Formats: sequence, structure tokens, C-alpha cells
Amino acid sequence: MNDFELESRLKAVPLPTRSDEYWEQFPQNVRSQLRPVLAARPRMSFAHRLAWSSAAASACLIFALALWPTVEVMVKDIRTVRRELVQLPGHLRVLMADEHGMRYLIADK
Amino acid sequence: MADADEELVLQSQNGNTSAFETLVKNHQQMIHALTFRMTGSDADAEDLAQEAFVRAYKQIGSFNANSKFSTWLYSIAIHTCLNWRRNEARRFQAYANCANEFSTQRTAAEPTPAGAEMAQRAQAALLKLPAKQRAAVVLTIYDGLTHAEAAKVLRCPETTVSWRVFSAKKKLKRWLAAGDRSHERL
Repeated sequence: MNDFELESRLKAVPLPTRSDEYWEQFPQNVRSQLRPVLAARPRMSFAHRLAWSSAAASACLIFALALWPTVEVMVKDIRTVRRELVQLPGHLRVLMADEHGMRYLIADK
Repeated sequence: MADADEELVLQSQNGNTSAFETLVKNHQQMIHALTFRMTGSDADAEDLAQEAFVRAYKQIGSFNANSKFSTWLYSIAIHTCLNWRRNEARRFQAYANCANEFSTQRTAAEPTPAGAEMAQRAQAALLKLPAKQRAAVVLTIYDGLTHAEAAKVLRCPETTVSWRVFSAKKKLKRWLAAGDRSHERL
């Protein structure tokens, strides 16, 4: 017997036939068995959730505090610009910001 | 991985059991065929198919999207069958029961008695194989996997699969030839 003949013999073994109802019902049977699996999944305890929430809140606070000086300077610059714009609206040509602060170049129109 | 499976797997991983039910619907016939060929018993095949899907759901969080879902599912189903087969007493009992199972089955084709006899001997011979050799034969001959793909499913080297297939084929040919000769004498 060669490989082809063997494979043909093996593949000729029929599979059991099952009704359409069986194939419809089978996934639902599996799903009904999943409910105990879902129920068994451990839920986070209150203490665990509190710890995670506190850590997230602390991280946000630290981030905000670290960024605040930069934000404060930006807000101050924006106020300065607005004030200068009101006083010299037509002559203001260039605004510069460097380590010495805000500078502007005024030119005749 | 097929796009349809990919989306369903993602939803299942997020706890959507309806999505997993659809995955079951898509793969149930394939898994039933595999479990039947591994056990030779209709009832056991149904139980093991169900168990395989439940295990797949429990492990779905660990599924790696780099491989095909069907390959991963095959692996779970095969190992479910192999664990079931560990009890040697069950193996011989199933082999003995195979004749009864087969004689009560009704198929659409209604094979002739001679055809049914040959099919019965082929199934019985398949069940005589050690479980791991049977698994290699089922995956490569019935399901058309390459030796490399079967090795992934069985979690062993490809050379091991090749050796198991070679060894299994040798035994099957010998048993079937002996069975054919004794049948002819009758």
C-alpha cells in the first residue's frame, strides 16, 4: 500500500452527521459554560482600585506642578503682548523672546 | 489571520461573549472533526469540542495575533484530546467501542457494507496508534497542515512531527494490509 492509497482509505472514514439544530445549539452551549468562567475572573478589590486611582491622581498633580512655572511665564508673556499691542498697534513689527525677556522692534510704518 | 477572526478575537479579549460565540460557530465543524478523529467516539468528540472552546476562551487573553486563530485553536483542541487520552485504559476501551459506534452511525452517503467495513477498519487502526502519532496523522492527512504547521500546533520540533507521521503511516499500512488479508480469507 502506498501513501496515496493509505490517505484515501483514511479520508474515506466518514464523520458523524449532526443536525442543523445541533450546530445552532452548540455555540450557545459553549457560551452558557463561559458564564462561570466570567464570574470566576478576579475583580479588583476596593483597596487595589484606590491605590491605582491615588497613584494616577498624584502623577497628574506632579505633572501639573512641574509645568506650572512654564505656563505662568507663557500667560505673563501673552498679557504683555496684548498690552503692547494696544499701545503701539500700528508700529509693532517683530516680537522676540529670549533669555532676557520679551523684546520688540518698532518701525515707522 | 483572517480579518473576520481578528476583529472577533479582539472583541472576545474585551469580554464580548457574543463575539466568541461567533468564533465558535465559524470553527465548530473543524474542531468536531478533529476531536472525532482523535477519539473515535461521537459523544466524546462533542464533549471535547466543547471543552476545547471553553479552554480557548479562558486563554484568549494570551492569544498572539502574529499566528492564525485557527492554528491556535487547533493546538488547544489537540492538547485537550491528548490530555483526555492519557488514560491508557480509555484508549483501549474506545478502540473496542469503535465497532459499536460505527455500526450505529448513519451517514448521508449510506456506504455499502464493504465500504463501511473498510472505513471501520481504517478508523480502528487510527485509534490503535499512540495518541501523539494519531494527532500528527490527523493534522497532516485530514487537515492538510504541513509538518511545520503541525509542529506549531503540537508544540514540538518539525522533525518530531515528520518521524511520528512516518512511523504512524508504517503501522497503519501494516495493520490495514493484515486486516484486508484476513477479510479476504473470510
